[in-house]
Amino acid sequence: MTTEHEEAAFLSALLDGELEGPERVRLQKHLSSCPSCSLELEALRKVKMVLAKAPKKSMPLEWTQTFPQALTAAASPRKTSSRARVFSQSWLIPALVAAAVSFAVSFWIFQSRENFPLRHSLSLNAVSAPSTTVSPLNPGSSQTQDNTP
Amino acid sequence: MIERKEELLDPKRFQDDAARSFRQVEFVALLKNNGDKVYNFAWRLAGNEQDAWDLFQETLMKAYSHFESYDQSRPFDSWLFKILQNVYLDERRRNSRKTVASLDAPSPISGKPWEEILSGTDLNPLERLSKEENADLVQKALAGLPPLYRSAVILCDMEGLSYDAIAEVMDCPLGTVRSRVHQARLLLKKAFEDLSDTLSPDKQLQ
Repeated sequence: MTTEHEEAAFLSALLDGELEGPERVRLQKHLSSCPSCSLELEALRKVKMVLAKAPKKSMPLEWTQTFPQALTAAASPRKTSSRARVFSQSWLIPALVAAAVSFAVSFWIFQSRENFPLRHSLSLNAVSAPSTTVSPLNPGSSQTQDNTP
Repeated sequence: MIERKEELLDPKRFQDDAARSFRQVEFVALLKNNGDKVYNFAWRLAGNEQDAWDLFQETLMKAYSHFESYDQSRPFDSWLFKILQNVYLDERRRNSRKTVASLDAPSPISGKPWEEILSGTDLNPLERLSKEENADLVQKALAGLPPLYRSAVILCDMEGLSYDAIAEVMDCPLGTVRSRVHQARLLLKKAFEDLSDTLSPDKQLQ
């Protein structure tokens, strides 16, 4: 089978101008006396013609943009450290700042709520509220001391 | 900051950057002259625009990364053809879901055995087809070929490469190229006949 194919393949080689010397002479001589091989050669020629005449595609113009970008993308990760890559993310730094500010504000509000009533009561005690003490002599009663002059 | 300045002023780094820029310019210049042929080859091999574009881009990246090994005395398009074909075959091997036609596999044409396809002699549909180019039919017929046959016949009949050049691209002996081109044409002849027969009468090629 292989041998037959290789011999038949000389028809295509002849068609493509790839057959020279005694092989070419022998095949041409055979073709002049063999209608079926001549017919086969004509069929091959038509196939070749159809392919040669088929429309062709040009490469899309996108390549002028995508190719340099791809080169840059392929080259840069090897040079930048993982730390640099983290900080090269444009959204990361603003996000961290926003998180820090939000935490600070929350903490301040929390502290304010905790401290304000305490300070308020202390100041009332210190300024106007009468202090209440329990007399050791009379534990059941309380005595109010007026600090005001 | 100081380190960055030192890095920029490093002569070795400067040389590397300059060499890289020069290499990019050189590669792009060669590509501008040969890219259309290579893209057309990708399109004919892949069978559609999307796969052709992916194949083309992967080929460019691979070619660029091995650009230093390119022998300037050899045609750039043949070098790219070779890379593209290897990328294509690798992709087909990786993607087992896509069917790879082979002479050991069932025939792609109407359930007929390969032997029957190869011995077809009817010329009429082919004559009709050759009078009017029909890209769709050509693409469908090419898609039914085994990949190596497809490559050989595209490179020969559509890209105009010599057998020597095809042998280099496909990394095979000259006799193998001759056989692949011939077998591909026989299969295409039969495929054109079958595809043309399936067209409705009003759409048949005159």
